[in-house]
Amino acid sequence: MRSARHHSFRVAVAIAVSTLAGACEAPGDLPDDQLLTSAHFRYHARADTLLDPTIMDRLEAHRTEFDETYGVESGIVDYYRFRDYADLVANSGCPLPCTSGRSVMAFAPLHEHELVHAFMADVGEPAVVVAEGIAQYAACIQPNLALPVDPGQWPAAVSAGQARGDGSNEALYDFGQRLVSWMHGQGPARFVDFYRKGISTSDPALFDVQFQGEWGHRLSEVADAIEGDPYAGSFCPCTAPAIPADGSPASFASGEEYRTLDVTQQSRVVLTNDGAQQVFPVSCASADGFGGNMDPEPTGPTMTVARMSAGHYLVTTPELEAGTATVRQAQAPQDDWSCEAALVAPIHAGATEIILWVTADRALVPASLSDLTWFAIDLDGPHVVSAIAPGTLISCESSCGVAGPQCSDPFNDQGVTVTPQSTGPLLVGVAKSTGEAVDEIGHSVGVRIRPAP
Amino acid sequence: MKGGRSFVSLTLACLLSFVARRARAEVLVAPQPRWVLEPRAFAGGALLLGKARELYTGAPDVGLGVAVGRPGATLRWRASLDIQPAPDVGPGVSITLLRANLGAAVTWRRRLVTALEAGPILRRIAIEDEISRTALGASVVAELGWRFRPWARWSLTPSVRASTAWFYGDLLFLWRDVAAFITIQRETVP
Repeated sequence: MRSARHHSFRVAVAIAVSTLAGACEAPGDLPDDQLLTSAHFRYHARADTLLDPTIMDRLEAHRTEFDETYGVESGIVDYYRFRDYADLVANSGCPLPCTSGRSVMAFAPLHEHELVHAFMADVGEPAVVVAEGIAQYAACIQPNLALPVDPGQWPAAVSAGQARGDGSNEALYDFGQRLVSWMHGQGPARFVDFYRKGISTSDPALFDVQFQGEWGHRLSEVADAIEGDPYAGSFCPCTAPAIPADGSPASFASGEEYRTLDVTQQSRVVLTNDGAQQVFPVSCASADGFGGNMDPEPTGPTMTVARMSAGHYLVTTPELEAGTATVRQAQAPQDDWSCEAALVAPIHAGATEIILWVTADRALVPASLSDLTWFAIDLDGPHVVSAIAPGTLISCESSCGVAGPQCSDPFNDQGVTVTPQSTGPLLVGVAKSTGEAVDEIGHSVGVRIRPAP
Repeated sequence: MKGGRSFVSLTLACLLSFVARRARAEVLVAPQPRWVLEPRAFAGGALLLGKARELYTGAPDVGLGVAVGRPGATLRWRASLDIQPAPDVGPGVSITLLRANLGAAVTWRRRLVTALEAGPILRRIAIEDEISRTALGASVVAELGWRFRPWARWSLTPSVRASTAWFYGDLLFLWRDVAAFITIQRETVP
């Protein structure tokens, strides 16, 4: 414990010095009442934080996956877990979770984005847009969807790094993620070499000179190229265990782990979760974001019914839905997603919360209602229907071709309450909407159907 | 990096030592009645250090300045302006540093020149029609030279300089270089 306190003092001094650059203020009282250690981590927490010692196994697994993917190995990471957001703000010196060197300040048990900063700490100190870009791009547990950035605005995105401490400039993160996606496409080793040699700047001209020297392209050219869909998603090597195909369960800590899933042809995939979390499948190759943390959180088991193409997927849960997810999978090949086909296999919505999910390559802007992906929901009482992914179009019919109750309200995030239909199951069509920035790119769409309170 | 720091430390120590001795001497010796202003010009070449070397390796550096002091005194206050253009860093890319410094120089035994200067610096980066940015920063320059008097009214000083600059917009990055110079300076005979 004593050595840990000495270490905390050194970290406090180091952060105080390093934050003279303006990202943070000097830290105050860092958590250090409890200390868990493993080969590559020291995990510091306050006395009243309930710690699960197996967190160290998850941290190690996460780090191993990252290090092997990028061929890096930094030193021991100090993870300072604050009690809550207020504790973080009061004592870390940062307005948001942050990292200084290999010291992570966060209140989540495992903050994937900040950990990436720590894993890359010994590699180099590049331009902020690159450092934030890899932290957004290399994501398995919390994949990120990068909105398109107007190519002409790349200098503003790069220079936003000067004020990254306030986390207010989304363009920095979006452009950075897309740029890293492009560089990663040229080879992870080459990207890491660029990271190592990188100059710590937010001057767009200086960054452009360095970028051009390394990659042979001007940033304006690359900014044009990365506006498209292939650069919108995160990347995950997906080395985590698979959810068994035989229907037996796979358990994982929500927000700290993920699992994988292989689909061999277009299928209707049902993921049942005994835990109280929503579960989303996302492509490993280009993880295109996932459902957000929508209040209220689930209070019981959930079931995700997804339209998925052939591919390798990760399965994860929203960041703030804690606990253990225990997930089973069942796949049934399905090519016809029409309203009539949906009625063949209605989904019973009782006490279990339902998530209807369509992965990115199948989530298109429809030309007509027949282009939607249809699900039939057998309601046993009033339920609340709401979009759970950005840019989701929801349409309801009481029977095929017959308009049903209004089940979406763009001005109400909390959703619309629907009641059982006398005509049979409620038909819910899902597709990608139009008109917002997020609609300009391909991404998964999803609908949440939960029992009305 | 360490060499650069040592060099700056040595120069600073020499200057402080001189100022202390000078202060003691002022008590005993009557001050010179007048000040002189001596123009100076210098030219040389800089080699970049550290990560800046990833951008380009070196560039010429030329400047003008004045030195102010009492005739015959070993201390000169300096003001200088110099430009370091790197017009061909890459295709269509130019980087130019423009530095204005104030400082002090001490000549030891009429030969060994040590100087320390500091001041604002501008870094202009232009990439054809794509982007150009001018960043303001601050720089410190330390100099060590050997003074010759080939002519009665002029001195010629070959020297080496180490400079470090920090620009707004760069976070943990210091722009460092070492340079070799020849300075010609007007000398006022007491």
